[in-house]
Amino acid sequence: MASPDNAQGSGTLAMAGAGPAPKPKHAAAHHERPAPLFGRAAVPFFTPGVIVIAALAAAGLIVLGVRLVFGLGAVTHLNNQYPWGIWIGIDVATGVALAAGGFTTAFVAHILNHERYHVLVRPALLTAMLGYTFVALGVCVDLGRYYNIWHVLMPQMWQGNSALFEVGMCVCCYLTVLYLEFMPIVCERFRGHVNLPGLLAGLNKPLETLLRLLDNTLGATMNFFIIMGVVLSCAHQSSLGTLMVIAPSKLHPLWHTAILPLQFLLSAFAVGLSMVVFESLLASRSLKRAPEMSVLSPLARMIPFLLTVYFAAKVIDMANRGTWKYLETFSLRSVSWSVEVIVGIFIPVAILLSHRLRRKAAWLFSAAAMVVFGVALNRFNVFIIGYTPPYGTKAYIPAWTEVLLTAGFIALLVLIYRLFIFLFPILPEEEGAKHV
Amino acid sequence: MVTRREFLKYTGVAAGTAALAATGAEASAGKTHLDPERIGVLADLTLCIGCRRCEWGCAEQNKLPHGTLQSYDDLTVLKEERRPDETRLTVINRYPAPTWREQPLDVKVQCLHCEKPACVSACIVGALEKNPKGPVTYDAWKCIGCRYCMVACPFQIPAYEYDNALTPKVMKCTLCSERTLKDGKQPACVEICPREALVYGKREQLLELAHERINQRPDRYHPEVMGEHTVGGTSWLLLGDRPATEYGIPELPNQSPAVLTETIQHGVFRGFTGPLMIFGLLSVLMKSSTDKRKPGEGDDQDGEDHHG
Amino acid sequence: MSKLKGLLIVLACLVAASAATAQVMDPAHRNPTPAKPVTDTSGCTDCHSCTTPTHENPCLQACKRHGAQFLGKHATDEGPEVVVIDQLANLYGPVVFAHQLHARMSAMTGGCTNCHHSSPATGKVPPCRECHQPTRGNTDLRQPALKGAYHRQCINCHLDWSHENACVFCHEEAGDKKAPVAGQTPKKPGSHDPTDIVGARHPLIKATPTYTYQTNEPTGAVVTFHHEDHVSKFGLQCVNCHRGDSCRSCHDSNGQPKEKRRLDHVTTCGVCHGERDCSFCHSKAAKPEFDHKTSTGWALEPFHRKVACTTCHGQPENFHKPDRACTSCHIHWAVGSFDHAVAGVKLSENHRELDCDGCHLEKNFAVKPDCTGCHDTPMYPEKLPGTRVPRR
Repeated sequence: MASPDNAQGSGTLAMAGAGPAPKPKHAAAHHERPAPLFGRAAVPFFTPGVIVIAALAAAGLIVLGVRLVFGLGAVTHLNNQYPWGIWIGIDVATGVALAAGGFTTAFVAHILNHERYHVLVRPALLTAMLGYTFVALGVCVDLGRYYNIWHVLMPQMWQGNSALFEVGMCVCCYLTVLYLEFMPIVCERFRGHVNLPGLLAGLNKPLETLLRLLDNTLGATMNFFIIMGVVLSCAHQSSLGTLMVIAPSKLHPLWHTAILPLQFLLSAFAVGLSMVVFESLLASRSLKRAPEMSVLSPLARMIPFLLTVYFAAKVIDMANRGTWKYLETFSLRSVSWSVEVIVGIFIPVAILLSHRLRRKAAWLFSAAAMVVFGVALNRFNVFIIGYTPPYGTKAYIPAWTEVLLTAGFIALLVLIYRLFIFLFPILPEEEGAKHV
Repeated sequence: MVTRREFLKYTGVAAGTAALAATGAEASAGKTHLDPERIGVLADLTLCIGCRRCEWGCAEQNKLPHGTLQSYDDLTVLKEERRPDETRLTVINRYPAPTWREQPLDVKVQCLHCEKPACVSACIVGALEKNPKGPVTYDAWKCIGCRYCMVACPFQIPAYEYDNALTPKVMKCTLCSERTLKDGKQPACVEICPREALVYGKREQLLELAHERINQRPDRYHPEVMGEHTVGGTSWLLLGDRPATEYGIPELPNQSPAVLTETIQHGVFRGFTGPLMIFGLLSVLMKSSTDKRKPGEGDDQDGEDHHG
Repeated sequence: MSKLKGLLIVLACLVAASAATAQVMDPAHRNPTPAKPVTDTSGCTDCHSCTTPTHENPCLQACKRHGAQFLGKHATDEGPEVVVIDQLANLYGPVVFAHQLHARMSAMTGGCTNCHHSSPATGKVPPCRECHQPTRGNTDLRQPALKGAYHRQCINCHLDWSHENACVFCHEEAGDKKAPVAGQTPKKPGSHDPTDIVGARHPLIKATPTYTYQTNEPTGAVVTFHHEDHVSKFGLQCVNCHRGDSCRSCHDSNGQPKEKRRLDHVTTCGVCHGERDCSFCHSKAAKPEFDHKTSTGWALEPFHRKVACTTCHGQPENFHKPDRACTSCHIHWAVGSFDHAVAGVKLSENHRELDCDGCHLEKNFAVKPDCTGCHDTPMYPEKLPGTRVPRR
């Protein structure tokens, strides 16, 4: 069996962080080994854009403070009619969907073992790790008694009937797996040169030993964790759909179906790959690197197939339940559904099926962005727009503080992502960049 | 090109999934853990005069903010449809008489204590529980405040203390389980009801009584007892002069919404067969793909865009 | 291509499997609401065998109510006049229940069984508290406790018939009046004074004073019926005309329509006016209300203003026209025994022995007295046959 990051033998991997990376043995690998961006990037860490993002993150954290001191009622428009708002609809449900890049890339690169995609694994892994961390944080912010979150892990309180329990457990496990999968990167960065200053210097040796131990153990068991990650992802991506199945009288028939979990899973496949493409192109632009079209174009070729399957699951189910009639009337919900399908499925499928357009960064980026938007809108529809409680007519419109916190969290995620690619060997070392 | 191996691979997945769906259907035929002697309340809405005594009694019992008993004599509040919330666990709503000749119908709204409650099925830590004796109880200590119960409840009953920053609770009627099950008393609302429009007793006997009344006065009652079958039955039984959908109860099937989700959940996760199968499948896939791509063999299938 | 095919196979299987599940569990498969059975919706037929029960023919049958038995014949005044309900008086003062009033009202419908639904066929009628316990228990869910029993009985009618069911309609407000003062009957707010019952059968009704009917009668299409006259002037009691009415003629109990009231005018009006021709009631235009002077030429002013019709004319069912002679009513009046002072003039010694028609020609007291029988010139009213005194 191959090791996760490097099919050519994991032995050398551990030593890679410091000196010049050994040349990959494999002819098919076009890229250099991943390396931290500090000192190598074409752009500094702080740019005007990053400062704006940092400000947004700070504002979000202020809202978080207000929420902790004054309670949910002070910063949200949640009520007894709408118990779940955008913190669940966007931060959690959409967050989980968009973090699907981690397991889809792992599946394609490691399990199907397509060598060329290995270069995408680390960014996708980082996205997933940070994405899920923020999903967990988002949940905690929304929980009324966040300090009781550990109850979910207590066997005497396990509640196997609850789809949410399933989601919670899987996310916990998957987050652990993600951290474990990320550990080799940390090891790679620090192993062999742990050098803490001053008083902490005494810890250097034990830390070094720990890193070596971790690295060796993980190197041997990484395949297990990779498969585990995919299984856990499939489980909770689908269970996230099961969540709303319990409210047949509240979730609009355009979305409520017994196969909602299947639809969530299928859309997660499609959006996972799209997110990798989207992110890679975005990062290239932001870091002034050349887009990795040679990897992204073939990866994007799979997206139309996945989208078609997802669309088929949607349409066959609709025909089966006869819910077409809800599209005949012009309403917020019928429009939202149509946008979700046209922008999120039809147009990107059309673009990505074209051999020519797929190889143009702008088109590829647009198509990937549309898929991401479409699936995100689907989650938003299922959790917010399509949620039609029986009593009361007051619509839920999120408070500006709610929006600010969500935006702040996303900003914080972007910031940390940037920090990580500057600190850790995530993105491949560009041949061209070295000479700049 | 579909290789023989790949074809087998895919059919394997399909068969596995179909098998899972089948086990799921099995799981839905759940056994009930409910006590045949379990208690309930019969609310004869045609006897209710909307005096709001029950609202007062409930607030008093649950130590919720409330005025004097006399302050509840104000019946103007009945003009607008109200909902139970975190400050009042039960309210009376008045539904106008269909014609001037008939009486309006006063309807008491509170948690109906489903026989197969969706909120209990949804609760992630088991803070909400269906007591075999009838009440759906809440343990605030266990609660993490996810409010999934509120999403799940088809009657939109649980309310939340959003303004409580540290120890917010889910608020709903608990059928006075402290009074009823421990002290053997009647629920506060039942005890105070001046006309005994509310009758507390064993659910089975109450059902019998309800049908007896319907049979005696078919002109007075709608022939269906709300709560006998709806969402799998509820501990509260409502007798009205019109269909339940005409006095504020949503149109709901006779099956608890929890049955479908539990079927899916247990279908997929029973004995972890589903995840284990996927795990096995992926292992085989990983092994085979690694074997196939021995160094030197290269990527031969996705040959697009190799060199521009 | 290969991938698409494979995925489609997977998908087809998945969708087929899920569709099968979905059909079983689709929440859209609602439980059909059975149509409301067509039944007699009157609610009266529980106790009445006919749809329009009347006092004469209540057509009572054995009630279907739980444990109900028929009461034997009990007169309404056999029961207590007033029942003070104070067994449970802690929130409110005791209720003074006008038992006989309600008994009389019930007499128009189901009788004592309206409330005493579980009484033995003979013997004493048991009070509510004999069966209904003061505290609620779980033994017999069918039997409400005393408080519930009272409220069900009282509010049933007060809601159905008078739409009046606020607590204070029966209860005195709580507070210092909790315990009734010994030997003093608490006043019941809003209660009907039993003496107010017109015809002793019904609480006072505000009726329209005058009804004008358009009829097809060729000789005179308009019938003017002065209801107020019949009640207050002629002294008719409600039951004189309405004895045959059903309660439902006026009350909308149990969602039943008020019936169109159509008293049989020949039998109802004919009781008194049977010997009159049609034009007595039927005329071309509306008639003014009854005036004794216009209709009979005999003014009731001033002395008979306050006299009830029945005093002179007898009971309505036995109506007769009295002689105009004073003595046909005032049979004891004769010269010497009549105190002329009641008319405002105390006769002088000379006039006291005169016959009445000595001055009042032909005993017509409506015209001026004539003095010329004895005196040469008309003296009255310049000179009086005595001294003026206050009229009595």
